[in-house]
Amino acid sequence: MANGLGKGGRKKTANKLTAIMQVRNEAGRYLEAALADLSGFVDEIVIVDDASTDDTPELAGSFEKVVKLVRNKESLFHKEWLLRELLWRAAEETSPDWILAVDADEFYEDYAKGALRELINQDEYDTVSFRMYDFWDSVTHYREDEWWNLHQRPMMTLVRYLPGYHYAYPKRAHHAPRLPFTYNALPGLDTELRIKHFGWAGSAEERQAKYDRYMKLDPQGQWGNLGHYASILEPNPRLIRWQERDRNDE
Amino acid sequence: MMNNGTMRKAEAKSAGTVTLLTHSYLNGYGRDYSRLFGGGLERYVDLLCRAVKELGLTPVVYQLTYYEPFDTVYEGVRVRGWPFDAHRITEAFELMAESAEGLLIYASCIWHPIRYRPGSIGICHGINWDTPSLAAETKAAIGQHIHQALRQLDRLVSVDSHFQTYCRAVGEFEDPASITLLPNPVDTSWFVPRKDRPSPDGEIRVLYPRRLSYERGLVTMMLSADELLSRYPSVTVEFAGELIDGSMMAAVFGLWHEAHPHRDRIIHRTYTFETIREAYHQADIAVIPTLFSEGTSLSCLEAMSCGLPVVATNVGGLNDLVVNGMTGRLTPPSAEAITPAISELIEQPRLRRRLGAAARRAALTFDQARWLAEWKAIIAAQLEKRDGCRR
Amino acid sequence: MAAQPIVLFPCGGWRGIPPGQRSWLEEFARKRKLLALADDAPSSVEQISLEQLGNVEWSSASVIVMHPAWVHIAVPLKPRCLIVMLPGPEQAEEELWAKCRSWLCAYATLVVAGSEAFYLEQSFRRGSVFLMDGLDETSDLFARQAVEWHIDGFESDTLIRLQQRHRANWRQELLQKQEQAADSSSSGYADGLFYHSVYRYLTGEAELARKLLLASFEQMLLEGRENTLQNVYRFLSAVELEQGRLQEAVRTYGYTAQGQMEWGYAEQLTEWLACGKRELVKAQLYALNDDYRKAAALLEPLADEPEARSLLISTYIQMGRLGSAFSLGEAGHLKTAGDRRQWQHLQGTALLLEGKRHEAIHCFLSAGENRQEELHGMIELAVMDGVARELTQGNKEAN
Repeated sequence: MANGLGKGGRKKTANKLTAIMQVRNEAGRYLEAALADLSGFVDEIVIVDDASTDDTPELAGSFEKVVKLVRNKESLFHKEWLLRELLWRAAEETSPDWILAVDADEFYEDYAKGALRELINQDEYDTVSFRMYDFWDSVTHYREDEWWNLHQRPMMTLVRYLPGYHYAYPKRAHHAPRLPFTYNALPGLDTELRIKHFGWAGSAEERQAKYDRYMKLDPQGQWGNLGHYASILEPNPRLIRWQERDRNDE
Repeated sequence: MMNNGTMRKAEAKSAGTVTLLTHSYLNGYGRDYSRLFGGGLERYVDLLCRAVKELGLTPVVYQLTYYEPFDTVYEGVRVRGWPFDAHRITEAFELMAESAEGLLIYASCIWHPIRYRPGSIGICHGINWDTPSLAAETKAAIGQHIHQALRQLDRLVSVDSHFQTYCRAVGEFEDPASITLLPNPVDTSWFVPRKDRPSPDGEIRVLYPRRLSYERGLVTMMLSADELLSRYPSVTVEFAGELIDGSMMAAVFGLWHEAHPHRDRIIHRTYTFETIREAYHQADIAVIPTLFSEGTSLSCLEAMSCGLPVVATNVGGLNDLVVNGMTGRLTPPSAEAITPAISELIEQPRLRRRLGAAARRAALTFDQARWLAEWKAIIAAQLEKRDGCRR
Repeated sequence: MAAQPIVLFPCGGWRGIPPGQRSWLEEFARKRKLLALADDAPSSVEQISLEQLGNVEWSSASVIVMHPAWVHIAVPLKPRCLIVMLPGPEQAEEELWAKCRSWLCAYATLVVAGSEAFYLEQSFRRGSVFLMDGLDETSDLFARQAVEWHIDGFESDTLIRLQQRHRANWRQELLQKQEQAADSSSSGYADGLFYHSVYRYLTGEAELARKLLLASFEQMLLEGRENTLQNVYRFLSAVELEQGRLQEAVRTYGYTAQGQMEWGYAEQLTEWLACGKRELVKAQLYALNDDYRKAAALLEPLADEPEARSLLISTYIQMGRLGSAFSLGEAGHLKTAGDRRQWQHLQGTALLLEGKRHEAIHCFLSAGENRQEELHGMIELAVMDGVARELTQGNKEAN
């Protein structure tokens, strides 16, 4: 194409990569490590702090690549779609090219980090999916069984921002998708690149606390599955050792 | 186990036999083996049997048949019919060859990858794969088969220079003489110019003297006829040939004919080999607008022998018969090209007479007697070669 | 002055006419002179054969055509009124009938469509289109009235608007019912939103059309439907054109383009926009959204300009207006032998529709002079002839 743009006006080179994250009381958990990790491979970070009561916002703001930090006075926890929309709109204001939707306890494997630029500097597809692994009780093993197999399905976390495209979130209280679902119509690439999720990697007490919270919020299993919740307490789950891949591996 | 005496007798018997292998000869429909299929190939084989007989040898014909196997005698020649599977012609020929005695002449299907028995002769009746829209891969495969045929056969007889050149350009072979040009014959004593002319009402007849099929340029002729019939009120166009019922060309021709504003000046008739001369005698101009697949066109030869000026396309063996402007007109295969050539002949009776006379003289050099003599020489030479090897 | 007589070209004898229309036509026959090419016509209708067609004074007659195969027989008659009354196409309609249908509708003076999708498609190609699909009595009444007025020589433009608005409101009510019943995932809801959007586009209510379109898009995605980007979202570019947002429209199209051809269009649109060729951009975008009518209207004043003329010719061809395409002369876009053959086919068809059968055959033959497969124009003609003959017979269904 004439002006260096590719098909349909898509940028093929020098795409900016912006990470977006919503946080609430993450200080003391993985936030610092996650932001440090992200700073190593993204260009900008946009964060929405959902009325934290600890020093999460100060921690977030201390990272140079955080170009935008939105602080909610009141929590939108029970209207998750609004929170997602807020984060999205905040990102839109930074003239993004590609957006990586990350949670505060997620870490991309080295191999994936190395592939990212190539993945976004093209004009063939607008979304990229990865495999999310739930680490369990440690940062060396992940869980795989009947209830814990998220990594066997693609998960869209990286998208091209198309100005003027119709973005929408379904109006759900919980488990709103982290990206506008209208991205499902656009051409996408599914990869086997991996993301490490450490939300369940902590102690048994932490997992118990999470279980208690779910049961309090959703005792009838309206939003989630009761069997799934129960499996959190499984004393001897099936764990598989993680094998890291070298960034330059073929 | 035969002793020497029996062996020599068997050899002697088979030594006098020439077996012709062909995919078509007698029409076996209804177990009535009294007729040949009416095409050029069958007439060729028939005439070749005559050449063999004139040498004092015994011709035998092995042919493929759509119907049941048979073993009969036609005009004194033993003919055996072998049923076959349309996709397995190669195997069918090899099977026939196994039972055949004496000198073998493979009279058709040269483009198939047949394993030829050593010491045999093959015949190619023309190139039928010369259409621009046929896949290059197919053409290359055929080239391979021809190349293999040239290596296995002692001699390959070509009815036109087109195929002869093709062999030299595509094949690699030891003996240059193994490809021999022998154009088809015409009976110049039967196909003679008509005695008197012109036709009383000033009608000028343009004749298309062949089967109405796509590769023989039927569409080109129809397009040209549209122009000619509209421009010249005295012109009639005759299509003298078979049209296969229910075929696409039959439907196309029918639609064209029915809707034609000048349909009263369009004739469609079928003739037999015996009666086709009438068509030539009633015509003023013959048109042979072949699109592709033409060896030595018998129609062209017959028309020329009857002293008709011909307009032919520069396809296949037609190039051997017509010298443009001298023995006829030769043009590229399109209505756009043949129409002006035909128009010129319509408008100039003297040109017609001049080209027609030259055509007759040219046809004389394709006379049947000469053809028979050349075949006899080929067969005799091959037999001598084989006997030489045997000693 | 009413166009008389009215000659009916049916789709399988009188019996082949859908029952609802049959009773209406029988009533027609009581008021006016009705002839039919059917061997089983009732006593109130006069039977006529194909051979007798020459006896009718067509310049003052009306024709009602009910099957695409009649196109090459009915159109050349050049009747005063050519009313085309067809059901929507079958799921896997044969290509030949799809083409015939397109040509027939292009040459008609009035089109009555038997399905909504077909109605909307035709509304994007021409005026004087009505819907008669049996789903709503008032709507059908508009269509019947339009036919009668048309035969009587009156314009039916106001009726068109009325029917469109009526259908749009009918759609709206249907959707509201489904929403209230929380019946959002019932099949037809998402499609209903889309159709409603198209109606509002036709009635000039672009903003409402936009809202409905995006709602339809979202609903279809939630239902997991495929190809929503091209089938639904792309139409947003047409809506944006209506709203005067040209750059956004081009951008929207670019997002939906897939495959070499569409990427080519997207690039072309951007180039034209950069050069200031705004009318060309609009026309092309309308055409890419199947709104050929608007495209042609924009291009007609520019027909002297080669790029515009070329686009106008291909637009006319898409619309089935072969005569108009050819009156613009030989297009400069015939680069390959294949292009020329295709042009010859179309030229043959245009001649056929003018009643010049012999000249048409000459074109079809020219197209197939070198390749036998290209003689399909002749074969199609034979099929059309054959089917037309069968359509007069009441005792069998024409395929």
